[in-house]
Amino acid sequence: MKKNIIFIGGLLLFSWLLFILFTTLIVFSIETVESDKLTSNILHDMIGVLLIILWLAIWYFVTRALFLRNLKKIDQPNIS
Amino acid sequence: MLIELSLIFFISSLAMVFFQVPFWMSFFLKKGKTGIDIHKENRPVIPEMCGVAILISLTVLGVILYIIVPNLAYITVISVALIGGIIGLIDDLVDLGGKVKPLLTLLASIPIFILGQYQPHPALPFIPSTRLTIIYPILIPLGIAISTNAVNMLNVVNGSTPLLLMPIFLSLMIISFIQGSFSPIPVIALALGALLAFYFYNKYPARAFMGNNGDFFLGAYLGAIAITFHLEVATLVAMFPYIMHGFYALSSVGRLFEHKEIRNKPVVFRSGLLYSSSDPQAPMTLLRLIVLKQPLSEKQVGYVFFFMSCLSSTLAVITSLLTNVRLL
Repeated sequence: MKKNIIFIGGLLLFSWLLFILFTTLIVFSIETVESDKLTSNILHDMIGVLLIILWLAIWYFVTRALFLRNLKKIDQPNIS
Repeated sequence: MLIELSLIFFISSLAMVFFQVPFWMSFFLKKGKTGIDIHKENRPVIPEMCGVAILISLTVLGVILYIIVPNLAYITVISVALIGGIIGLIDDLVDLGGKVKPLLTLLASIPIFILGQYQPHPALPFIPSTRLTIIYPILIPLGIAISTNAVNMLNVVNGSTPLLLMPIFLSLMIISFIQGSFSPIPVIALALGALLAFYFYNKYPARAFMGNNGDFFLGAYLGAIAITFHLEVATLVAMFPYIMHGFYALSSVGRLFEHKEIRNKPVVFRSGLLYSSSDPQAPMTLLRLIVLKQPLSEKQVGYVFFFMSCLSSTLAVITSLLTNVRLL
């Protein structure tokens, strides 16, 4: 069970660190938005959405790669 | 006053659910509303839909709470959860299917709009207040639908819903204490009492199943607390085990689905242990990831769920503290 907890806990921590990293990126991107109200509002929202999509994509591909690597090591090859 | 009231409501919901569940267990057994506990060698028949006890208790106590403290946020949380619970109840009685059910849960957010219980300025780490005036109202129905369905999707082993949700609600209570905002505490205490009582019957080996009504009610309840009490980001982080499961499962299957629709099962039960399927076509679920390194018993999986929820809830408290930090 220790191995399982380390693996899944690591994945969870990775997800959180990625989330914090991307919100930090959002902070910097917001600073570049100009003061024009409507445009800045739209940009503000759109940048946030784009960063969330990027965050999810990185999250998915890293987890998928880890998953497939561990799947090859499964010691019960006939179970499906 | 709110703290004393929270304690009273915690004990009331604990007692109300604890004494009500046995009645619903025998009622649903008689009515034939049962399910097979698939992760047991002897495959016992267990009464389903016992989450009705939580739905009734929290609704009644929530209304009493609103009468004592007329805060619109309380009635909003209860209304949203009740709509979610009713959708779950209908699904328990008549199968709504994997596509209609999530779409219907979008409707649960209606009371938030009617009662105007949202502020489109969620706090993010290093950004104490954002200005999401356009996107935020669109995200409300999605947020409620996601939290509602997420809780339901991860109810895969005995005791998983209480084990996953109790640390989340507790972390939201701690955050409210730290922020000095005591208004969410009574509704959180209500949920904690109900979950603790239900865990007694739902823990391994389960004697009662929650059913979709309980999962949907609690998921909508959690989502509504996040929105009405401005705890969005903390809830998002605390719900990471749910989000991981939903995201991995949906992205690997490529569409909305029901567990029974999946032919290539992600985990296999053999000799009292849960094994990760070696089939590359089987969906990548959180349960499959948990047992990927080595097979575990159902009880151990429950402990891993609890560990994950405690970790994500701790991270939620840290994230909430980071929202008060201004980077630039």
